Amino acid sequence: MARSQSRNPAGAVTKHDPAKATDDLSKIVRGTDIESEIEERLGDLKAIAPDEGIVPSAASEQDLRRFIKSRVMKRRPYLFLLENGNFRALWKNESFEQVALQFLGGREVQYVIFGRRPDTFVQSSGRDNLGGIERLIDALDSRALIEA
Amino acid sequence: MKGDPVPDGDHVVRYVGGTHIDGGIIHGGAFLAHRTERSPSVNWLECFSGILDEQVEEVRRRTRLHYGATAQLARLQVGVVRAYVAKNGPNGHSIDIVQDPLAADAAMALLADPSQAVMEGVPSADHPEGEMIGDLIAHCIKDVFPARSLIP
Repeated sequence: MARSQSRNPAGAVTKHDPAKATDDLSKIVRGTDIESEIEERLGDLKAIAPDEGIVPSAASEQDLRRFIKSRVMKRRPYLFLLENGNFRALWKNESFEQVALQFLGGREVQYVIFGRRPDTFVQSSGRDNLGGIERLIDALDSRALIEA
Repeated sequence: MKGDPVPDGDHVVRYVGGTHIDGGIIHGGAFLAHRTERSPSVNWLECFSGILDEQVEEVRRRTRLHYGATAQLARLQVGVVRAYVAKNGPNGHSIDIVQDPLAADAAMALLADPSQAVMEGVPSADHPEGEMIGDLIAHCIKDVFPARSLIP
């Protein structure tokens, strides 16, 4: 039985696995969809902002983009614009587990994380930098809320 | 009367601007004090007679806020919010919802608003604890109404 093959740009032959290709393609399409959804939502928030007397923070938006870039997400976060101009991203499920991050600018975030362990409701809030919050998300077993 | 608690069995609505709503989800920032507020203000529905829709319409009629086109009014039951925050908040944090009625101001053409109330004990948005309390309050939303009247 013939196997389909393709060449990567460097010239090396790679096996073509149709199932894997489909997975990869769906991830790419989904990722693109999420990115466009995020752009649409940010545009909506900026359009509403004057009506609410809010001036969006460019530094906050930059950190939000930095955080969501280069990760494969299950779905886009809920996005909000706060009175102080900062953006807040929220990932949550129906069990009230959540990761909520207010991007303060300067690579700082204010977070509220709710998680569940078999016998308890875990909650944590505070401030950290973008690197520190990644470690905290892992420590609280909350990464699955964000990433595919 | 000013300072009296709103009964636990009664309901309040909180004005939620459009930037706090995404896909029908309202986050906790909506329940934290605005720059112009000492404490987050709410409106006590049962101080007006009539069915629920009429009570909400009375809140709209007397408001002193500019209600945004995409804004909503989120309804909470007082006792549920107080108990939920006390149970799940940090260090047994408690909040109270007390009456803060506004008198009419003829010079400014403002109606009296006996439904005005405030949520005391809610930290500000600048503190992580405040955002956590706000998010817990958001878990207690019973239902929402368009902020702007549907009556032409």
